[in-house]
This record gives sequence, structure tokens and C-alpha cells, in this order.
Amino acid sequence: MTIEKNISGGSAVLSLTGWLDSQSAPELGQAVEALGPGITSLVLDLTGLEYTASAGIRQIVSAYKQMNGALTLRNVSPEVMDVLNMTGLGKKLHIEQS
Amino acid sequence: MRKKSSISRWIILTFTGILFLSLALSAVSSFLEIRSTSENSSDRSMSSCAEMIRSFLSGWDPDTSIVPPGYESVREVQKDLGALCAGFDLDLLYVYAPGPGPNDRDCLMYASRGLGTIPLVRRLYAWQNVTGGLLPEMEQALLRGARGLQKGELTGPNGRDILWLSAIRGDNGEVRAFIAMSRSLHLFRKEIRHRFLMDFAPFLVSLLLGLVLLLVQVNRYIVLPIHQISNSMILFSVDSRSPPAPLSLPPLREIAEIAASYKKMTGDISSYVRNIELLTQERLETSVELEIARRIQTGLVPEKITLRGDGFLMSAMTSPAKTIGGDFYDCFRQPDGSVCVFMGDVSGEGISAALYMAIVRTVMHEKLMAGLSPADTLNQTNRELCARNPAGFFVTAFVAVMDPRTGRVLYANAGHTFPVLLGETPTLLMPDPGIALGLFDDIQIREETLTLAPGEGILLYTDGITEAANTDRVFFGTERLTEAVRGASCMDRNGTDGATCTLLSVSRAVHDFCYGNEQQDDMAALALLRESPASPAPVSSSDGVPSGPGTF
Repeated sequence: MTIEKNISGGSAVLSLTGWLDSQSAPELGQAVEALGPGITSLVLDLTGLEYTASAGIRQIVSAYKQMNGALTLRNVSPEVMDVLNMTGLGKKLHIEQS
Repeated sequence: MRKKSSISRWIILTFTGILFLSLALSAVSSFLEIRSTSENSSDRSMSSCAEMIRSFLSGWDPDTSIVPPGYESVREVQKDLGALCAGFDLDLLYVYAPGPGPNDRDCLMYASRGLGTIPLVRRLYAWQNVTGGLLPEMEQALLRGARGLQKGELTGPNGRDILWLSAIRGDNGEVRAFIAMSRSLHLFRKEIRHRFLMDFAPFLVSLLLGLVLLLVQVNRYIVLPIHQISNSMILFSVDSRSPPAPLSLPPLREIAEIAASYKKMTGDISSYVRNIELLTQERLETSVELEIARRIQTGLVPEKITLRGDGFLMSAMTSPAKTIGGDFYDCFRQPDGSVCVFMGDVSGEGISAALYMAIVRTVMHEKLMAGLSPADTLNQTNRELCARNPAGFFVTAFVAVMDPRTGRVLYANAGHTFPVLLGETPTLLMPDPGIALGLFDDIQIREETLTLAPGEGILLYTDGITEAANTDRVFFGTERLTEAVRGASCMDRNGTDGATCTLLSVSRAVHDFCYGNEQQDDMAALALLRESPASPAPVSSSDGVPSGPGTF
């Protein structure tokens, strides 16, 4: 999985590409951690994300908590959306489809 | 194996080569020098020799003076002529005039290289005896007026001699005297050989001395240190845990570099070896602990189990991706006789997931045993998990409680995979998805109901099954799952009950689908079937579970 970072002011966009599985999930955790306290809102652009495992869901929820709810998931693919809906996160997280 | 050459052998070979090469070169140059003595270049130098003698003797009348003009004594003349002999590599030098008889020669002057002190005596000689017909022929040619040098070869008692003859002419061109210059080839060659040996001997001695010195130094500074390091390596390879004893090596830069690298390498290797031993020990301990953990987990969540009670049949299987995993299920009867089943999946795999699983399963089991409804159980468990969840784990779970008498099922879902309804045509149950436990403490999970007719049932499973991928990274999915269980629950043949048959079908389908791909995630499945209440069989144990491809 690759993570691309884009920061403007207090908000950041992380674009994820590939598979977010138990091996790559810690990378997302570190990337979110590295944003620091200056970033108050985060967008995860999942256009290129093909799959997320439960470890990935954990990191997404952890990011949601770190941002105090100011987390947006953008362009979620149907496969990933299925996983989010299945775990019930689909209705808890703010999801933006273009 | 081919025998290896040693450094010393190579050095000796090289020196021998140099020796033979220089010997050959010197021999060739000596040979050329010897050859040139009978060549034209020699003739030219003899001409100039004769010219010099002529200038010595110019203006000399042997009949009036015993020495040429400008000389005090015969000794002086002989000294100069002797030097001339040596300079032109001549053995003998004569100046003579024709005598009164045809074979008489009037010897005026005589010199030789080796016999410089013989007094000069003017006398007549009968030359024919010595030179045969050669000398007269050459004289005749000069007498007839031939210019330049006459040259001839004759064989004397000491081997071949070369003889050059030149004339001293008077004002009218008449021959007044002859200059005879003779060189013994035999003596000349002997001298060349001598010179060659004298030149070559010091070179040979220094070459041999150099060779011996070099061998001694090479042995001391290269061969012995290499042996020492090699022996040390052999000892080190026997016991690599401690670095080898320090070597006492000659203080050469190159050897010191090797010794330093060797010391560093052996130091590194012994620390690696010690680390590997420690790690192996730790791994052994870990694997023992892991095996204990696996037994504990198998005690909580058996890998295979089949239960049959009044009006229900339940079978379950698990297959962790690693030794232990985070999938769990449970099945028991509540005090009021209802059959309670639940299945859950802790995010992640391995020991941490297994530890968390043990907690969640126990909490849920106790709440359900206390008579709490499925939704209440999930909501309360969620609150407890949210209160203490430092690692951010979450759990998906599905709880179902069935009254075997009526077939009414109360169920609640916390973000878990949607169960399959078993029957003639298996379909996917579409419950409220709920939300996984341990993430948010303010959730409300709803309870739903359904009713199962005898022969119908419900299949719970974890996403390890639907997300089992084949080599093309295609998931097994819910469609293949519902297809796999079609009709399987009604089989109940060959002594295998319908619930186990269902799981075996799923297992086989997943196994075939993912053939060649390693199992990535924990897998678990549980089938609960409602049977007609008439079935009298008591609850059986897991002993009756058939073996075969019944694991994931």
C-alpha cells in the first residue's frame, strides 16, 4: 500500500492506494500519528484502495478518534464500502462520494 | 583434488625462468660476438689496425735503426704494439720483409698479447712450415699490387686461426714489408666464454641470494601469517561463540589489515551466534507457550464440536491462520432451555487477538447465561470494552437465541458478517448491521427476530471465509458460500448430521477455491439447525465429529 500526504493549513488529505491489510495497516497509523496536533481535520481519499482488512478498520477508527470525529472518507470503493457497512462504520463515519 | 601451488613454488619458478632467459640472452650475445670476429666488421677494424702500425713505422729504416723514429727502446715499441694486440683482439702481430730465399722471411718486429716481454730479435724464418701455402699466396697477391687487406684462414696446432696481411709500400708502390695479424679463433672463443662466465657469475650469485632472501621473507611475512589465520579459522569454526585468541602477526600493513578484518569478522560472528542461540532459546520457549495458549484456546473454542439436543443440532469449526487466533464462537443452553449461539471476530490475528477474544467471549457468555437478551448482551459488552481498550481492538459479533420448541430466534448483530439462512434455498439474512464492539461507547444495537421451521437453520461465519482469496486475489464471497451450503443441511447421511455436512461443504468449497494460496485470516463457521422436537437423542459430545477435509 502507498500513502500520499497533502497538507493545507489545519487539514490534511491522505490518499491510500492498494490493500490495507494487517501488514500495511500500521503504516496508516504512523502516517496519521505523524500529522501532529496542528492538523484538526483529516480526509482519507480511498479512490485507489481495493481492500481493507479489520486492521485497517481499526486504524480508520483510531484516526476518527484522534481527529475528534473530524474524519471524512472520500471516494470509497464498493468493496471497501461493503466492509464499512458490514461493521456498521458506514453510518458512523462521514463518507463523501464524488 | 588438484594439488594447489604454493607462493614459494611460484617464486622459485619465476626466478628459474629469469635465470634461463638471461642465460639464453647472454649466450646469444656471446655467440653473435664470436661470429662477428670472422665477419666484415672485423676486417674493417683490421684495416685501421694496419693503418696504425704503418703510422708507427713511418720513416723507419730497419737496416739503420733497431727502433722506429720517436722510440727510445725496443721495449717501448713492444709495449705499444702489445696494446694494439689487446685492443684489436689479436694474438700475434708481425712486421716482416721478404728474405733472400723464396721461403725466407726477415722478421722486423713482433708482438703478442700474452707475450709482450719477449725480446725482439730480428732474424730470418722459414715460414712455409707454419702457414703452408696460404701466406705466400696472400703475399703474392699484395706483391702483384692488390690494395687493402688480404684475409685467410688456416688450421694450426691450436685450431683455426684467421690471418690478415697488409703491405707497407715504398714511394713507388713497391712492397717493403708485410704486416701479419693473426687471431686464434680457439683462444678468442675461450676468452669470450671466460668473459661470459665472469660477467654472469655475479649476476647468478645475486639472483640466487635474492631468491633465498625473498623466500625467507615471504615465508615469514606471508606464508606463516596465512597459516596462522587459517588455523585460527578452523578452531573458530569449531566453537564460534567466543572470538579466537589474538594472533601474533608480523607488523606488516597488509597483514595487519587482514588481521583487523578477521578480528572484526570473528567478533561479529560470535555475537551473531550468541544472539541466534538466545533467539532459538526464546523461540523454543515461545513455541511452548504458544502451544499452551493454543490448548487453552481450544478448551474455550474447540476446533470442532457437534451438539445435538431436543429440537436442535449445532456444529462448529475453527481454523486459525496462525497457531491461535481471534475468531470465537459459543453454544450453550440458557436456563430456560433456549439454545444460545454466538460468533465473533476480534480484529487482528495471533496472540493479542486471542487474548482479547478470551475476554470478550467470557463477558458475552456470562451475560447471556444471566438471561440477557442478544441486543442487551452486545450493548453492555460494548460499553465494557470501550471503557478499557488501549490497543483499539474491536470485535464483530452475532448473537442468536433460539427456542427449539417454537423455532423463534432472537438475534442481534454487531458489525458481523451476515449469516446464511439454511434450508431448501439458502439465502443471506439481511439483519441490521449494527456496529462493531469496542469502537464507540454510544451505540445502540437493535434486536430482531425470525422463525425457523424444522430442517431450517442459520449459518454463522467469520470474514476469514468470505474474504478467503484465491491466487488471483478474488474473494470467496457470499454467493459461493450460499451455493456451497445448498441442500447440505438436509443430507444427514452416512452417519454425518446435517450441521456437520453443511460445514464440510463450506470447508471443501473454500479449500478448493483457494487451492495454492496460503490461509490469510482466521476462519470459523457455526451451523445451528432446528430439528423436529420428536428427536429423542440427548446432547452428544464432539467425539462423533467425522474427520476428513473438515478443517479450513
